[in-house]
Amino acid sequence: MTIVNGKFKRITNSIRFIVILVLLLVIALFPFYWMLVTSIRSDAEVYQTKQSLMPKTVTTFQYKKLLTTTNFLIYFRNSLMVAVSTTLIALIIGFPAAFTLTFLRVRGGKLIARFVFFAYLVPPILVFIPMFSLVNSLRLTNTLFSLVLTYLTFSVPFVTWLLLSYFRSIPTSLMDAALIDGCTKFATMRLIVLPLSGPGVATAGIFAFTLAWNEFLFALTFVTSDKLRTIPVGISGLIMGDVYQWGMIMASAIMASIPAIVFYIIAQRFVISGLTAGSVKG
Amino acid sequence: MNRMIKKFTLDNDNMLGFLLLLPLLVVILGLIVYPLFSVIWLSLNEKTLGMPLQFVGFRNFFALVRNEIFYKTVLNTFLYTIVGVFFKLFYGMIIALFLNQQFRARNYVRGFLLLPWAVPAIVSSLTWRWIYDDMNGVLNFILMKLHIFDLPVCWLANASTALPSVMAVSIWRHAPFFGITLLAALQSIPKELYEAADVDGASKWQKFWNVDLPGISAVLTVVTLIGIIWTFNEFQIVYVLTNGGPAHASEVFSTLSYQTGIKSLRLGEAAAISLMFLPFIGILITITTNWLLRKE
Repeated sequence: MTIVNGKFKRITNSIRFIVILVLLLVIALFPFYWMLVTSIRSDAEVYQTKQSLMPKTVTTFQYKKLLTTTNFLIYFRNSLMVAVSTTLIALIIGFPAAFTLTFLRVRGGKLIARFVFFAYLVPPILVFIPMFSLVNSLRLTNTLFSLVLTYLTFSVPFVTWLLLSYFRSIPTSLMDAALIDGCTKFATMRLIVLPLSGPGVATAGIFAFTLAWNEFLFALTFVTSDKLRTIPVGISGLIMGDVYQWGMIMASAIMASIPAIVFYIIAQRFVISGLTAGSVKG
Repeated sequence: MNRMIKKFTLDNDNMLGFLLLLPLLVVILGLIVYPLFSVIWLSLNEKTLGMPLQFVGFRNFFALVRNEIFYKTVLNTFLYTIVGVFFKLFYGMIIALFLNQQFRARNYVRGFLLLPWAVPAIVSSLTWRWIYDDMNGVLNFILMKLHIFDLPVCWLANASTALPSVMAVSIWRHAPFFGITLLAALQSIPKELYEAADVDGASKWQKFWNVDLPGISAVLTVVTLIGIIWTFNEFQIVYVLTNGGPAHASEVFSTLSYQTGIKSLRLGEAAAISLMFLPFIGILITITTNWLLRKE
């Protein structure tokens, strides 16, 4: 009897497991499935009254339309330029700062570290109004540079914070040994810390890139010329017309996800450590 | 002598450190602290682009507190935050507990479940706007096919469904982040605690309350705090899905601020809106920072 009971329990358990698994996956993935299906349909099929969940025809029509009738490639280029510049500048500023806060004894260092985190949490929506008048008075409206400049507000604190927690894992004994050998403090940054911080810099860089790639509010506010739009604002502009072109819009959504997903796959094992930035370890 | 060397190196550190920190300080002071303070000044002025400031005292604030839309916005923002964060945590916890079991292909499942959070927010917002579409949207199609509704629902254009629909997207997008963070915390709980609980004959439910929850309480606090800050300030999802409409039914702090400041170019009033919410956000950020750095 107990054996039968045990078996019964095992079966119900595994049924329950599968049901939850399928439910979670459907909720997470169905929108992506729908995005993909819409993007490979013809307009007639997208807007037909009798819908179907399965694609009947496969066409690259929407992608061709996206690339030939819109500025999508220009948006893509703009996004790439802004995200790469932001990432590089954030790393150039953040790396020495994190090094200093971890390995040098500076007055007020702890306070600055606290400020860095505070700055990271300050939401853009709180500062974008004064930033708007700042960008205006610097005559930077409608430049990609205005975006790179303002993206530093979140990328620099983020990169610094992430590297800060990464550097804590570098043993100070290495530093001490180098200093005894007559290395200057500045040289230890170049010779000891930099070679050891590959994964940390990569993670910080990938996250900084993703944050800049996804940014919406500043790009919407500081840039009004279509030729200077980044992907998020550019493709959201595709729905403003009278005729919704959902097939094409979903094609643009797929294209916009690709860099993010590629990076995500590369960085997946860093994701958790990066997100929690070593600080949420509890 | 020894002391002198120490002092010398310390000063050396200070000098070098200052140089290395300078760019960071410029960014923080110039791009974060300065704007935060100029919000205060701006809110006391009438400001149109290209024109000099005109001091008006508290007029912008008086205009706000007399404005019904502002109250609606406050209510919506808190509703959006409280309900949103609750379900993000709830659904995130389900994801975390599910992934905390041993099974084949777990890493792949984890990757798939994190996907809503990994793609750009614009992608999720656009896709959901298409799913919610009243004429051709797949949500109405499925619900009518299953005979749950006979007529299509205008999810985003209906005053009673607009805000919940937007909330659902925000939850869908952010819950995986909570899930994956909570999962990391769950996995750091020592196995011995579960073994001890087994010896004591604890049920699954008891294990959850007495081992899991206390084990992840620190992480739970931090993600809740960060979740509140993020959700409270969410702009893009609301902007793309409803832009605060219809008739301000889904207006939140961020969309109102954007509309007032950028669309209507009433910068002073927009600054006043930011300032009304600043104390709340400021307190939250301070609590979060203190909590995270408490061990240092």
